Amino acid sequence: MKNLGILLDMRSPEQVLYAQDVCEKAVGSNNVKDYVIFYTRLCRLEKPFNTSILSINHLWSFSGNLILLSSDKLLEIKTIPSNIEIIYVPDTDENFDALKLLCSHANVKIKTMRVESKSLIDRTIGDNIPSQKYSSLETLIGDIT
Amino acid sequence: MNFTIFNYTSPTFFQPIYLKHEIDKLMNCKADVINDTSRIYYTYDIIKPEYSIINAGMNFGDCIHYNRNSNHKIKHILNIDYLKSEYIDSLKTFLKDELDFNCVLLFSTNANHKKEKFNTPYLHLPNCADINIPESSKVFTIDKGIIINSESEKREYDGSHHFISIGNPDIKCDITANNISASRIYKNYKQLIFRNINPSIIPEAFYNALYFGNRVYIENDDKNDGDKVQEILSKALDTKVSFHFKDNEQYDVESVRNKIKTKHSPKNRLKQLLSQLKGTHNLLLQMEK
Repeated sequence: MKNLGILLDMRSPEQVLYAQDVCEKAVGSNNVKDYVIFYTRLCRLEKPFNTSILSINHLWSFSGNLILLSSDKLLEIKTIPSNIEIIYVPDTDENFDALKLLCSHANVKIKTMRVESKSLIDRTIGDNIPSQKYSSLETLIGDIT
Repeated sequence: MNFTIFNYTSPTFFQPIYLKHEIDKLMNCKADVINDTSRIYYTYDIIKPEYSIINAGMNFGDCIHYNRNSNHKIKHILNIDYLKSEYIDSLKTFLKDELDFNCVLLFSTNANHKKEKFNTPYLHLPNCADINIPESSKVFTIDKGIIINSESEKREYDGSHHFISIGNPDIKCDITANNISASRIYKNYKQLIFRNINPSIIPEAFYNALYFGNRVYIENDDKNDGDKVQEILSKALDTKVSFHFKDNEQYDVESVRNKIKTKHSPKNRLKQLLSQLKGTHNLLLQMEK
């Protein structure tokens, strides 16, 4: 069993909704030890998360799978020497940056549920980083955990 | 011999920087790159340049003022790269009237300027590859990098590819870079395709791509323009290689790279420029060694 972290920009409503969905699915999973939200920018939420919310700086004491909803902080996260497996989900990322991903591809995996995201990834990332498309969030989380 | 260069660098044009670099390599020769002409008395009095390279878009009122009031008259070399065609006549009048500006040479990378009749000597100084940029290691592999000038130039390509804009952050594309940062990622692409190159100005980025990248091609929507670019490249590189993307010629990258190094490097461009100036014979001899 591994920890599950989700890193998001709280000022992006799409990312918040996505993360809340992931949390709901993670509650029922027997394979998740603990799950936690990490934020890059904090703001007041209409519907709070049912788990702990920590600043991105706390990633230094985290180990496990980290779902990355935004590639903004990818290069910074790569400098953290702890045991973090990065899973980048580009579906809600408004600032998708192919070059950033390509320059830090060592331990990143890309998982998506959207056809458009998958074709964007295939076009811009090619075979440099393994990527996979899922039909539902359950199968995506199931595969991660 | 001292030079001053008033900095007219842009994200797509690093000529002032590479000229400075080459001048500094010469013995007893130094070039200072100055940001603007606001402190001209201080600059010229301290550096005492023989020649001062300045762009036509800059405010050179103070340069004229300095020459009028100084015994040491600075010889100005005027770069007219950013000058729009509608201002060419005004420039001709200016050069005719303002003799105190002491302009000894005009130069630009734009072949269209060759047709103009200036009273001052004119030199067409084509762009070149800035081979001083440090080479980067290869970190990823993408089939194609397509260098575009506008979003309308995007189209479908096979395999993995990036649309790259050089110097224009307003274009929505995968990568936006300046000439230096673009040169450092060229190696990661199997093919680089330049869309719609203007035959009158083969861009610096194209020469950089020939030097730093793998296979480089051109793809012009206008067939005539494409053929003109091909003709210029055939002459410049002394080769029969077709650079048209549609021909997909698997040419020898290393031989093209060597040609760029020997014929289209900053050193060659500085030689061309110095050969038009008085009192530079010793410098030219030094460069031949």
